[in-house]
Amino acid sequence: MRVERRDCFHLIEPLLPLVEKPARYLDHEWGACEDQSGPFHVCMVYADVYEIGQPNLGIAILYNQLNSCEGISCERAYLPWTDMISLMRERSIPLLSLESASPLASFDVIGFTLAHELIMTNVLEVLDLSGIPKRSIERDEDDPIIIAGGPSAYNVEPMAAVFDAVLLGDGEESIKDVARRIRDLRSEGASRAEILSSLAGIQCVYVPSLYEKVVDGTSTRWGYAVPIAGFDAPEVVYKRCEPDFAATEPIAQRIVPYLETVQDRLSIEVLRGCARGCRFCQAGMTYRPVRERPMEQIVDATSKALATCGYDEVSLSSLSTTDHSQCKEMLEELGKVVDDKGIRVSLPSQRLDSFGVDMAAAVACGRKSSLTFAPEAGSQRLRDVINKNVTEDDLEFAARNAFRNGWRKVKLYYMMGLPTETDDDIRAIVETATRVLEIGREVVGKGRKSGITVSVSVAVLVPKAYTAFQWCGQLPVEEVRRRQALLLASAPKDRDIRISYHDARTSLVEGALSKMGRDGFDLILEAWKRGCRFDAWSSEFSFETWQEAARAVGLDLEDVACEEFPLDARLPWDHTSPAVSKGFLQREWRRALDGVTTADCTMTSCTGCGVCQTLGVANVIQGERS
Amino acid sequence: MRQDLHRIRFAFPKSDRLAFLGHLEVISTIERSIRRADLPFAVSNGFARRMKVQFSSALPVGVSSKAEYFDLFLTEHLDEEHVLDLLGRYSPTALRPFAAAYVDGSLPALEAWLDRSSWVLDLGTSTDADAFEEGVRRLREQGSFTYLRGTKPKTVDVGESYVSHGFVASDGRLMLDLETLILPTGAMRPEAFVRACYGLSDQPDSAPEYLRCVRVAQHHLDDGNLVEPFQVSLPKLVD
Repeated sequence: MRVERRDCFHLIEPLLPLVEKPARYLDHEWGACEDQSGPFHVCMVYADVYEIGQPNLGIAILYNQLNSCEGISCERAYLPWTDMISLMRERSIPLLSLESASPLASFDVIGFTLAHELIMTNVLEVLDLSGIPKRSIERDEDDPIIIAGGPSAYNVEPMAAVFDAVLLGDGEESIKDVARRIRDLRSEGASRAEILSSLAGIQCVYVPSLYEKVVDGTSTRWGYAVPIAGFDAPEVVYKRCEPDFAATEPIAQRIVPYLETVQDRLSIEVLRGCARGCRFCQAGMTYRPVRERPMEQIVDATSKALATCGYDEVSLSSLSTTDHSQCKEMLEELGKVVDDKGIRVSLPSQRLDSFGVDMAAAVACGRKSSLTFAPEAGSQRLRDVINKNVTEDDLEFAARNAFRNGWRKVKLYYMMGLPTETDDDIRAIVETATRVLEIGREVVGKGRKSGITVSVSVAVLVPKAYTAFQWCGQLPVEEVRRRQALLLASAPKDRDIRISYHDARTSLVEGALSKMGRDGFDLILEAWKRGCRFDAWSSEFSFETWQEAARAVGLDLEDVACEEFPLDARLPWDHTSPAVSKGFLQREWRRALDGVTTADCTMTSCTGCGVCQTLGVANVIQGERS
Repeated sequence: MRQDLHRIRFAFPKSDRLAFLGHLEVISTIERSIRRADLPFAVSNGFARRMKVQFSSALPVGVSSKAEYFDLFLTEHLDEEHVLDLLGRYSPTALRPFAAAYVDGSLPALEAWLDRSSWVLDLGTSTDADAFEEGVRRLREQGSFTYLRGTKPKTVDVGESYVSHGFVASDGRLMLDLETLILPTGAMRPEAFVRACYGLSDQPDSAPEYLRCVRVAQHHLDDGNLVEPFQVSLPKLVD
């Protein structure tokens, strides 16, 4: 029988004085949906603490969409921090939603967003704290239907045992289709199995329990998934794509938090998708095609939302904001909106060319703390391999422009472990950083007072599903460390160049989770049982525990993460597709090895990724891109 | 202060769940309420252009208040009642301002000016007033105490911060009235004071796990006289 829906705030209120940041648990924020009368209740969960999850755009979109549906209410829930979890477990208090403070187990549907692979143990923690069986197969008729979506849903196989249904792609319409279908079938008395079977008929919905794993000579050791005989489930589930992006809500995030969140500002999604084609980038493949929002809509919506929310900063969010064909005019118009109100406009990323710097300068308004560029690879050869279509000249022009415009600190983001990478490519990172520093000193002057610094941050490549590098193995930890040491040893003895790099071990776990198939759940469950959670937090991550868990289930993390897959193998995620064709990715892989770049289809002609043809959509560009 | 600006003082509560907001969270929430109300606030010049607003001293997380204060600098002189009504409409109920009045722009910053606080703390049902009184006496005799603020030890001079105290019984609970002074070096946290008293009393274990605490008033101490925050002008009260 379903857990009773009732306000349980009184259970956690006495705990608030005992925990860090009690504002995480308060609700009642400005803009939160107070009417939660249902009668059909959905709870969207971000399985991390409030300040990480609250700014999530995906959850905000789904929250608004569901609360706009007649008879459906949607609330939010986040994973409490460890201090609160301990107190709740001591007192047998279940996880509660924010708005009505009801137990999660009392909801009809619970939706998780899978923002990254390291959130998986937190999903189990949420279910456990809620008293909901972790495996789909163990749930009773009355238990909530557990759904998921988000960027990491394209290889959801390691969590296939957990989710009743997975939604791929844009969620604006599909979440409503799914919620209504469940509501209607439940009211008709349909069984859980009947509901799940019906959900599989909705485009973009993957129901893992209707598929079985096959391991054969065409697959990797993880196998591939095929529909179980007798079930009417598609062989390949394609993502949903909103073709008319202008018809979607420009500002999804209307809730104004009390607590400072990781993106504590108004956010407007100015475009969706990116066709630059960086070969390591999963989002660049899975969010295609590119759909720009019209400038007038952006300016008008920003103006209204600033007035209703009261923020003093607006972020123009997307995968590549400065690629918007109306970027320059848009920033000019927004400048008029925010004039004299102490409101800042921020761009999440800069194009690595002079235009990108010009746009950053247009919104900086005197605040020029640091400017970030992402060359991703040190040498031109390797940038061609990863299809990062920028040249040494682009970087030099951009850096010179930045220093001339008043910036003194430049951050450069790189990756390590890219296919074909050599020691020369590692040394080239330092050479590029040194060149940028020299340019800064040429423009601004030498000496400590000039304040010129160049910070270099080097991540480890984690090959992801549906990228041209999905067949690659990850670099082993010891080799990552050797290259990191080489990087440090190559750096000049100049205090104005600062080098940092990511933890190779965290990346290894992320790599293993990205690569595994359905059997990988045993590892995640074992790691969670041994105490792993908040794996994306360096303070909480325990590589040793992950290693122990892997040994306990007969796996080796490095063996999993570093395994290369044959180019013609059937992959564990082939049946959950963003509609980018495998042939295109194979071609991109071969071009990578040849160092041949592929153009951006929003600036040239179609490059044959297959998304538009498969989904019946197209790039939507408001003006002319250059 | 620029002569063309108008300094208006607001009183607001910090109540219910929002007692658990930290000081910076209260500030950002009120600043966003001001922006939503579209009040003609002044903005500072310089590197980071910020709203010109000043708040009274910080309340600890979990402590509620009958009346906190902030001064907002406006670029236009609007009717006080209109401003209060507008801001009230765009504020969370638990922080909704209930009084507003223009004050002299040359007054010192609120945080330094409101240097006297009155508190009520709920000591629960198992505290013996005489035993606690003895704890207070011993603490005052000791002169100072040290407590952990987060992970950092902080020493408080009781002689300078403590003013007076008294007891009231309410529904079988012992309520402590406490008067403190805010010094340029910082404020004494009432909860820390009370726990230090318990620690020195003969009943150290009778302290409640959670000490409910309310700031009930703030004043400016002027040559031995208590000055009301609005005494420098006439406040407009909400019905």
